[in-house]
Amino acid sequence: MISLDDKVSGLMVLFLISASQLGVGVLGFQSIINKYAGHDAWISVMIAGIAVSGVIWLMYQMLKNDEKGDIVAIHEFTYGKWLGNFLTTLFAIYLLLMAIVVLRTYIEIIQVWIFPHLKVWAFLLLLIPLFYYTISDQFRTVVGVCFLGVVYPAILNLALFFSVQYADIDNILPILDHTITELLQSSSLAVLDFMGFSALLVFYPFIREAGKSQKYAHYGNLYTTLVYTAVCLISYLYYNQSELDSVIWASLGLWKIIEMPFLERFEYFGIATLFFMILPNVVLYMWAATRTVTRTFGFDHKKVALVLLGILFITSAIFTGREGVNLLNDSASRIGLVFLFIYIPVLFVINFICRKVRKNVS
Amino acid sequence: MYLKYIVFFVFVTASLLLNAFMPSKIIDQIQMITVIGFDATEEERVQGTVASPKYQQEGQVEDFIYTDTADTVYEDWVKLNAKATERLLNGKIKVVFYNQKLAAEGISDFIGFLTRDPSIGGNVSLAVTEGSTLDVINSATTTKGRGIFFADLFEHNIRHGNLPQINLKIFESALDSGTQDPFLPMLSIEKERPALTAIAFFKGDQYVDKLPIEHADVFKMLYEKNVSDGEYQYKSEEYIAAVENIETTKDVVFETNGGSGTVTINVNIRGAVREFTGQLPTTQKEKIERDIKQDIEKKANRLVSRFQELEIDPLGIEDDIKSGNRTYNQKHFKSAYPDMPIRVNAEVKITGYGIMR
Repeated sequence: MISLDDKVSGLMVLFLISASQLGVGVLGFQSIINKYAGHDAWISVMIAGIAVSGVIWLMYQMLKNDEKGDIVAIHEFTYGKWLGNFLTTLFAIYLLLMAIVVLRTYIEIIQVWIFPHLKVWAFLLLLIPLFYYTISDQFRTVVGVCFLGVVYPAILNLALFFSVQYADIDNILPILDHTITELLQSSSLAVLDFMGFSALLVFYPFIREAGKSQKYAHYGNLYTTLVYTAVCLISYLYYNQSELDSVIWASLGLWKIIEMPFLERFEYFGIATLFFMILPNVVLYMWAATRTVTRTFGFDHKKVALVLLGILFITSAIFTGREGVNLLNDSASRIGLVFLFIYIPVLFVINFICRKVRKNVS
Repeated sequence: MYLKYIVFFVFVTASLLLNAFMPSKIIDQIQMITVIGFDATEEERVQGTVASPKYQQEGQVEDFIYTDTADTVYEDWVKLNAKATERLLNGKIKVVFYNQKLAAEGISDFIGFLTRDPSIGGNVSLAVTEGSTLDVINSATTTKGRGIFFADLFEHNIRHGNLPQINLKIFESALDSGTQDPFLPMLSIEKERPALTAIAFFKGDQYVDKLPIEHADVFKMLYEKNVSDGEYQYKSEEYIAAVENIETTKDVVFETNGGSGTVTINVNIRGAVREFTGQLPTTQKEKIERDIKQDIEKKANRLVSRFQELEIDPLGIEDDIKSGNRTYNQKHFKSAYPDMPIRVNAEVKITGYGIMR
């Protein structure tokens, strides 16, 4: 049983959800989601936000009706011990994979923009103790990091105003020039940038009066959607569509136009601040993975954390170059899409039927 | 439980030590390039010239100028580094020149290195030079360094003169768009000093034509959505008038009633007369407005038909039509463009005459 001291207030769900969603995706999603809907893809971002709200609702419906209220219990209840534990393990691997993707992508950005000669494994040695410190003890530490991870990078939103002076409204006109199908296809790509909130399935029992926190989860998702839409809209005003095809990180490219008398390149400040956006991502996924494994197999939390960090260290060091990072990103997003929009609804239905049937039997 | 802290300490120290030997750039041991010039050469693909400032005593800057030929930009840097006392770095590039011959062959190969480098911003001024870029760079005499000298020259002409807003970002946008052709300012040497003399028009990335800067006022009105501080000179046998503090708004109307459609560019111009050679301008407001309107329309129509003859679209008319028209078809537009009826309609309003009647 989780003691009341370990629990956090419902408002924190807002920060947890936002911090888990806003990650490396925000740096370059503009040139990925315009594949189908072109200059209308910013509308797809809003559609994706609504869809994600739907999935959050599904998750809450499952979690509320479960005694222990986390994915381990739900899986065990729905599929029985063996199959349930197997699926839970897959979920833990998925969380670990997301942590690797986020961390490796961020390090790639540091390599490309700031230190081309950075040794990845040596840099990771600096971060691993920080991760271990955050995830090895109470959940409250993770929440604290998530809170700051929303507050600090929020000032970067102000930097968007510099790019507005180069905005050309012609770049997004005519609005709604694409079919509904194209918009939906693009939103299926946009959804990938909201993925991280599946950690909700793990941290739910750590929330005080968890059942009442649902509105904060939706507010958190709303904030994320607003940030994504604003970034996307301003990028589409700033770049024309053919230009977007050639840039890798469109959001960082927006900063190229900023000039300050005391700072030649804003990117150095921006990328450093982005660390506060990356850190909550990594620690929340790592904590969730650790917690899931601990709950399933009953190992010691700290030891599991050490092992998982070891895997994180090795995998991040192995994948090198643009192709390696791209491979990681692509596979994580495919798995994420299947997990959130196929697996979760299916799980919801099976769980619902199981609950009704067993109630009738008893 | 001290083991944990020892491990932490070892990790952090190891990380810092190992990354401490990354190649560093120490401010006293580098030279920042501020101006680059590219010229076409006979033997190799390009001649690159760079200027890098060295700060002397308070308020004095001396530029080192290096030049050599090579096939790629970075190969050229290798050769230039062999001549420089300190390592040359890209981070402070302010201005890049291309000579007319190279520009006519196409410059996209020598722009790619700018957009690919994360240390270079989007606000770099690009320009074409009539003669050799080395001569233009050499001809500038200034105490603030050539990079800042040229950057300032472009900036105030963009803010208050006849040069429309242009930099690396805008040039690159137009080049990539496929719906617009870019333009650049053009410099030449006049009486041993560099001077902004024209606007160079490109077809794709190739220079095709130029317009003298004193006639570029009409181009600026047609190109920019809003001019916030422009000027215009009206000359006729009857009188001469200088209109200053011009503010304009532009919109492009596309009508398809059978055929390929017609384009109307409406320009609204408001400005104050500051110089007038006739009698009492306040009494003949309507006449001045009408004269200037006809003059601008005549010049604008001539400019537009010249663009149509060259099949270039620096005004971004295609871009406007694409964004305002759901039935737009690129192939159809491109074939119709040279003969498309494009009409310019100017509305002139004189708002003042200075402090005299």
